[in-house]
Amino acid sequence: MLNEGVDRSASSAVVVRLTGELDVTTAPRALEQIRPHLSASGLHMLVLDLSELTFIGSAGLSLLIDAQRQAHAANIAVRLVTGSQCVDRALEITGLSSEFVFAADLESALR
Amino acid sequence: MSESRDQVTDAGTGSAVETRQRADGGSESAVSLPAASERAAEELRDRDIIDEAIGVLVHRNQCSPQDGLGILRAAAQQGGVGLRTAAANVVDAAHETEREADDAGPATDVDAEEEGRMSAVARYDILDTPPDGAFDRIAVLAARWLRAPIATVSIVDSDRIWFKATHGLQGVSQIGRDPGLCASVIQQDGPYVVTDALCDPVAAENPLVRGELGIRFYAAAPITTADGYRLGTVNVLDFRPRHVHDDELATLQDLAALVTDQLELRLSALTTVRRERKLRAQLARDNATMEWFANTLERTLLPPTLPHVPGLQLAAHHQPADPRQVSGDFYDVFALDDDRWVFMLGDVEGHGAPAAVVTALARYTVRTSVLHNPDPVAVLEELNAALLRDPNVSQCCTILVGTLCPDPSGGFEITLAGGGHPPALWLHPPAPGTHLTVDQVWPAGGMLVGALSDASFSTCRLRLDPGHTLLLHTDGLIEARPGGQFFGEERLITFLGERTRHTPGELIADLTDLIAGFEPQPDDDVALLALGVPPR
Repeated sequence: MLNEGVDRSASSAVVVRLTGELDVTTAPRALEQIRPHLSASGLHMLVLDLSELTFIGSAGLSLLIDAQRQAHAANIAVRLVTGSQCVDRALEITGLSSEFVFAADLESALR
Repeated sequence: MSESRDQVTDAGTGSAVETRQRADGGSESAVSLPAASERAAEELRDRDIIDEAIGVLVHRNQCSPQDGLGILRAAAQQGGVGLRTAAANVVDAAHETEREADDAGPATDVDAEEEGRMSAVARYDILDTPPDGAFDRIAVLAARWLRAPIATVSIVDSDRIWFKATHGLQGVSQIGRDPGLCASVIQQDGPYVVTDALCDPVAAENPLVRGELGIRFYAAAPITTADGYRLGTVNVLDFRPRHVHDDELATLQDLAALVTDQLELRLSALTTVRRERKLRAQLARDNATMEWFANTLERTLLPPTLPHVPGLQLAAHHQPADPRQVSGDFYDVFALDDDRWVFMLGDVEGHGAPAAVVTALARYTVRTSVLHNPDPVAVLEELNAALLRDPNVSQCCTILVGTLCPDPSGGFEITLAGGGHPPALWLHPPAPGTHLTVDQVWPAGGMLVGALSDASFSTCRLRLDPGHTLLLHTDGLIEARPGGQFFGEERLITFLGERTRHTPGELIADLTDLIAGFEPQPDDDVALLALGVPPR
C-alpha cells in the first residue's frame, strides 16, 4: 500500500517519500499529499523519493508528470530519487527518463 | 467467473475459430455439459409430478415456487419418503379436496370464514415445517403445568390437524379433522374443555377417543392471530376424565398467545430472509446484465475475428480483469492496402466506461491516421495529440503499432513503433552458435501516449522470417502475482523460450492455460497478440 510522508523539510526543499505501490487506486491520494507543498511560499525544490516503491503503473507515471508540471508552474524544481528497479524499468519503458532530473540519493538531491 | 475470448486464424486454411473459454479451465467444463444434461433429462420424468405438487403448495400457501419446494422437502423428510412420493401425496390430497369441494355445493358464510382462516394459516407458512425448539418447549410447559401426559401445539389445516409440536405422543404428526376436539376449538372463542369425552356425544366419536389411545380428557386454548383468525390450538390430553381449574385454562391461553407471538416473530424473520433472497437474486441479475453490457461493448472494441493475412498465422487472447467491466486493453489487425497490414496492441489506464472511451478513441484514431500516413511514428503523434485534445480524456495509454510488409522471399518486414509499452517478444529458433531464442523488441524512447504534448516516439525494424513469432502483450500478464510474486518479464521469456517452435495458436493456448492457473488471477486486464510465419 501507498504510504506518503514528509520526511524532512529543509529550508526551501520538501521531501515526499512514496512507498508501496503507486497505481491507479493510490495515485490520486499521492497527488493530494503532494499538492499542498506546491503552494507553500519560499519552496524551491520538491524531492520525490521513489526508492521504496515496489510497483509503479502508468497512473503513477502520470502522477509524476502532473506533479512536475504543477511544480514547474510554481517555479519549483523537481528531483526524483529512484534506486528501485521497478521504477527505473517503468521510466525506461515509457520513455520518461529524459523528462525528469534524478538524484542518486536524498543527500545529493538536497545538495 | 471471468470469461475470455480467444481468436485463432490460420494462414493455411484461412479458417477462423472463435472459442469461449473460462479462465478456470474451460475445456473440462465444456465436456461435462452433455453428461449433466442427460442427468437432467432423467430427472425430468419425476419433475412433472413434483412440479404439480409445488403448484398445489404455491396456491395453497400463497408462496413462491421455491418455498413450495421447501415445504415439499420438509414433508418428504418428515414422512421419511422420497421427494417424488411426497409430491404424489400432495397431488392426490389436492384432487381429493377438489372432489369434496365439488360435492359441497354453494359457498356459505362458514366457507368464507374458513377461507379467511386458511389464508391466515398459509401466511405464517408453518405447515409441514420441521420441529422447532420454541414450540416443543411450549408443549412441554403445557403438559407440566396442567399435569397431563400429552400436550400438542396443533395447526388446523383444511383437511387435517397437523402437530407443530407434541409431548407424550410418539410417531404421530397429524390426524384427521374430526369434530369434537381441536376441530371444534377453532369454531369458538376462548378455551375449550371436554372433562369426560365419553359423556360428550360429539367428542365420543373422535378417533382419539374411540381408538386405541382412548383419550378421555381434553383442554385447549385457540392460537388466535392479531386479526382474529384461530389457526389451531395449544392443548393437553389425558387418559382419564378430570376437571380443570380456571388458572390452568388461563395458563393454556397464555401459552397459545406465546405461540402466536412466536409465529409472528418467525413470519417477520421469513419475510426478511425472503426479501434478502430476492435482493440477492436481483443483484445476480444485475451482475449478469452488467457482464452482458461489458461483453457487448468489448466486442465493438475488439475485432470480431482476426483477418486472414496470407503467409502469416495470427492468434490473440483477451481477458478482462473483471467480467462486469469493459477492459482497458485492446488489439487490432487490419489491411492497410493490398499487401500491407497494420497491427496494434495497447493498454489504457484503468477499466470500465472511462477506459472504454479512451480505448475506442485510441483504436479508431490509429485506424484513421494510419490510412492518412502509414508511418507508425506519425500515427502515435496523432494519437498523443488526440488524447490530449479530448477534454473528456484524462488517461494515458501505452501502445505498440506495427506495419507488416510481406517479403518476396518469404516472411515479413516489420516496422514497430512504441508508446511506453512493454517490449514485444521475438521468438526465433536459435541461430548456429547462439543460445538466445527470445529477444525483447523495443523502440527505445517511445513515450507514454497522452501524457506530454511534446512526447516523442521512435520505431525499430525486424524481419519475421519463416519459423519466427512475435508476441505482443499487455502488462496484466507480467504484473500478475501468482503466489504473491510478480510474474515478471524474465519468467515470461523463460516460458516462451521453451516454446520457440510453437505456432501462434499453440503459444496463445499455452499462455491462456498458464494465466488460468494463476492464483490469484491477474487484477489487471490481459491482452495477447501473436504473429507467426509458418516454417518452410
